Amino acid sequence: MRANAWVIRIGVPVLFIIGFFLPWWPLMFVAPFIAAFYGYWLPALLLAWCADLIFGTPVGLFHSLVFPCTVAVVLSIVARSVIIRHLR
Amino acid sequence: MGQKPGGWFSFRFFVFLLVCLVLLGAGIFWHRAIESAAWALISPLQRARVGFDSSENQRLRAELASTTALIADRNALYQENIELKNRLNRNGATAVILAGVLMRPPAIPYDTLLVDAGEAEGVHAGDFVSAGGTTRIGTVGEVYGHTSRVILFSSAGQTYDALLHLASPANDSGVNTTQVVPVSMQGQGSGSFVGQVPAGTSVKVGDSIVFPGIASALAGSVSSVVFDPKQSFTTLYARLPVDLLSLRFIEIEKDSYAR
Repeated sequence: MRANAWVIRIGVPVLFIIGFFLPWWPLMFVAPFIAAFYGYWLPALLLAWCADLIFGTPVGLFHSLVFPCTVAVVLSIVARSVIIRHLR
Repeated sequence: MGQKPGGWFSFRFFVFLLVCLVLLGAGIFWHRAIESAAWALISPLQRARVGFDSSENQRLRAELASTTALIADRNALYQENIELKNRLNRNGATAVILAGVLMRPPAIPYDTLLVDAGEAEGVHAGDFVSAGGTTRIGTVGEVYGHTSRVILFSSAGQTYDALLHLASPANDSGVNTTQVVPVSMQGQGSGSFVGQVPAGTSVKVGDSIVFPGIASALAGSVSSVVFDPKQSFTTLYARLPVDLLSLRFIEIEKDSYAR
């Protein structure tokens, strides 16, 4: 479990950086969701926020969300918490 | 994963709520200032990365993209030229700012480009952006210090009024006539649009779509036409006349937002 934790702690930021320099935005988008899935909500929120800064405000339907990736990560953190409580 | 027992209103929950509020509040109220500061830090990195990519192959691909745009542009210009020769010589030229493309799809989503010219270079939100000549590809969405974000016409959900130039064969006296049909084009993402014209319109693959105005600019060319006899409209699909993946430079038409 401890080894897994280090894989996530190092792997998620590396994935985000690779996504930026590759460049392929879905990798940057996936990284905060992986962090959120494993319970690292603070890094998840910060990475999602950074991704939204880089991506800019969305065009079209989701324009009013301004920071859609952060909102989606917040929802996924809440969903994870609710599911864990439900299954416990 | 280290889940500790406790109610919903634990200390951890309040910290989570506080972080969410700070991030989203900062995002909503100061997002422009924060993005501007972030790009001031990131853009030198991107410039360095783009510099490393400038191999011979990249240069040739960029030239090919530019040439493709010019060829697509040529037919629209030729038709317009014939019409304008019979009219008053009004100057439709615009001042342009050359900018390098720092990020393009698939590096960033929403069909946007990040370019290395901003407020300091005289760029304004709403300025038209062309890929060279009169081939317009989008508008400036957000302007930062030395960078700007360009929203391509093909961004999903964007709708534009345009004119469809139908190339007609030469008449008896040998003069090419141009039929123009107004059309509302909607972006689909990845450089493509969709629009509808009344059934019976003789639209063909390769016809030009231009924006109205004295400097009417090419916005795309028809790539596919779908006609259903049961429907009263013909659906046409069009593409931006440039390869977004190879685009290295764009031209921002200065103060064109006011026109």
